[in-house]
Amino acid sequence: MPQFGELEAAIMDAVWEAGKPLRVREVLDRLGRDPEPAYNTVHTVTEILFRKGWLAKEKDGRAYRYGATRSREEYVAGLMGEAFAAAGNRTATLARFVEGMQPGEAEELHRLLGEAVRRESST
Amino acid sequence: MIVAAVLFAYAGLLCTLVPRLLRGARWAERAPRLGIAVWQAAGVSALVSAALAGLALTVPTVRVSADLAQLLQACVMALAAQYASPGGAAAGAAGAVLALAVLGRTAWCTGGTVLRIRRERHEHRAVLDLVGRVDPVRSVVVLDHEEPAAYCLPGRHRRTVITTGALRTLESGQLDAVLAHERAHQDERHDAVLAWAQTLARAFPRMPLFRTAEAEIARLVEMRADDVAAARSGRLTTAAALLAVAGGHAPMAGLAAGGSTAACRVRRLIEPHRPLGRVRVAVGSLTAAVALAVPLLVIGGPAAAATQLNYCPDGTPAAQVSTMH
Repeated sequence: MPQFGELEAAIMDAVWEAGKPLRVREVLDRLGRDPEPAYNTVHTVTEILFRKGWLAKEKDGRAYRYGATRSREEYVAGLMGEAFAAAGNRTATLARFVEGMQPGEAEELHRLLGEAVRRESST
Repeated sequence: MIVAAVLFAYAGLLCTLVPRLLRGARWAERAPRLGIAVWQAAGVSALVSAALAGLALTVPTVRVSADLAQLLQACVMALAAQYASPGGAAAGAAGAVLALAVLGRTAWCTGGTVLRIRRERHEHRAVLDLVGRVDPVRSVVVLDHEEPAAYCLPGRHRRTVITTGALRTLESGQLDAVLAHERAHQDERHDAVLAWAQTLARAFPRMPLFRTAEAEIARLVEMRADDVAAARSGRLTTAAALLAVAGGHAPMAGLAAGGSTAACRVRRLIEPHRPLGRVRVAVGSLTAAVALAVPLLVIGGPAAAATQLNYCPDGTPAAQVSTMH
């Protein structure tokens, strides 16, 4: 199963990089994986991604073209939004490293830290 | 009745006095793990006391005797005596409602939290695995994002996530500190600690104890992880890493008293490190243990005393009693 997820990620990468809807054959060409996965496998996984809502498909002649429904940046922004949501709504993603601070606080702490580093290096 | 009153008073005392005494305590910042344990002990103890108080009202204490038949009879008689009087019956009913409400509410909210967390984590991980790049050397997931940030997704399929912005901003020692911080969260199961604190705060939102405990535990958990990171990478390096990541953006939540939590954490790492002495840690641990033991001792005391008494008439040892049947 983990390889399956890997293939999903690779297909999404290919579609995002192309910047336009792709046919399954084109996806396969852009995967650049060794060994090359079977056409049917890629087709199946592409359909799974379509059903999951990651890809949209449009008819093009006899085949379908698959395009990303949202950009990678949008998904990343969504993840960051979840990870950095107000404390009360966040236990799934634990404890982002820090909460952020006010500019004034940051300046003062930079000064204090500089002093401490100098003190430490002089002793 | 007295047992119930004592337990109830104890629960009330914990709920009102403890948050006032312990909130923002300096010693807890010097020994974050002890601080977390004390808050947890206070919460569990209050919960158990309230439930046991209800139980004590419902079930009259009966002297324990060696003979099961006698014990049952005594139980039935005591129950009948209590519930024969309207006041006794009302107290019993109120006690049952109290105990069931406390236990039921806790169980319900725990189940809800567990399900919600599992669902959110699953969804988050699904997206993460498609948009993140795995860095096998550092075993982290890298997200293309300008803002420096790091967080961890705990659980069975745990992930440590770091943005390209953080990789660019942080020096290698600072990056080690950040990763050590996140691993400490995962190794010490801080997610479970936080989930439990959050469950109690949501289950009993009017109780100052649980509300304060949630906020304090969230703060102490971070300080604990900072300490682990500092032990690995040095306190000033960890402080610099915190500052590099935090300095960039304003806090999302409102400012806590005395500045943001991030600023407190940086200041704490810059100031000379003074971990709490062994004696004080021992005293603190003992206090937490006593707080936990009190409700059990209060309810167990009468029963334990009763077992010491000899209710069998003289000359009828236990063996003889059993042969008589």
